[in-house]
Amino acid sequence: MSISDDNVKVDLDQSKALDGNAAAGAFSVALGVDASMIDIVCAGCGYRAPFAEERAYLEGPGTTLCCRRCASVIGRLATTPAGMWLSLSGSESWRLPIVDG
Amino acid sequence: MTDRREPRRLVWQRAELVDARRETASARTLVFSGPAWTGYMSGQHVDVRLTAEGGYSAERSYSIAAAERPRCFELTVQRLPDGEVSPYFVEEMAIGDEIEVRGPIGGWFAWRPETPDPILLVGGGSGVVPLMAMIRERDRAGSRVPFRLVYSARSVDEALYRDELADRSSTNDRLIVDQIYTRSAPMGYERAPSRISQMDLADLSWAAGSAPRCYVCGPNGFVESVSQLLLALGHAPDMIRTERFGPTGE
Repeated sequence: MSISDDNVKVDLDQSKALDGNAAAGAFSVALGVDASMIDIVCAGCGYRAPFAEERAYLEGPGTTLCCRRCASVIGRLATTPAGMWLSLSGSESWRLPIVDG
Repeated sequence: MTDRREPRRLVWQRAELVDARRETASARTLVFSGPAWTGYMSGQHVDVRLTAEGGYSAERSYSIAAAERPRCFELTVQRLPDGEVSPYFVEEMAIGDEIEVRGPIGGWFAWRPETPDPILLVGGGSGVVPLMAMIRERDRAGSRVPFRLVYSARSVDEALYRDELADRSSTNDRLIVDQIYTRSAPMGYERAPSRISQMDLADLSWAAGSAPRCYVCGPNGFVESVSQLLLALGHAPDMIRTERFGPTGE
């Protein structure tokens, strides 16, 4: 399947989709909060869902997160020796949980 | 115990295999010791990293099956036919071997004993693992919250935790376990083997009036179909939490 947003076109095998739970570790490290509890609004269709319930593809060099409803890319994260690359292109907003302590 | 929660910092830590037991022909429970964790909740998972001698490494996520003692946790791993990591855990890993782990991860698919709602757990195949963690945590915490587990497995031989689930439900009138078989049922079992249906999920008498919180875990297709069945039965979308893994059959 080919999916796209304004900036990215990628080919993802939909049968390989996991959910955001499986991507929560990497995103939690990058963002410093429990990523599974983040609320995301898709810029493509306006659908709001918890990170944990979105589609995640872990097969590539990084992790790609896609909207559960319209399958647009809403987030990407890759870890390289130079640092962590995070793109939220394709999403309208991310509401992060309050961190205790 | 202190009320002040430490900030969560997810870092890779070493964990050593200290015990293991076979669950089925293709599944094994592994007991690890080592990592210092704060704030475990039942239903959470860990990221696991294996590094080969040449430096090649692979990462996977596994649900925590139990974490009842400090610095110890259990995983139950199902061997996948074409798996790269699961055959190592199920067939090769020896006591004393080490892995790297990062966790516990994920507050979304997690149950806390202070939640008052009745709980409906629906598991397919090894999707029962985080649900088993919730059942164990419920007993450990002395909770009396009504729980019902509907567990779909291919056959008796592939069903995880059979004896323990029978023991726990027979000694606890607020824990109901309904086993569904999809390929072959044992002799005398009244339900014919078939995929999970609306009938299997419809009985709500155990929940005594209040709407249950639902946790559904299994392969993609299973979770998708159970979610649709629950919505059709009138469960509110925000009362259904799901965790999916790859396309692994059952």
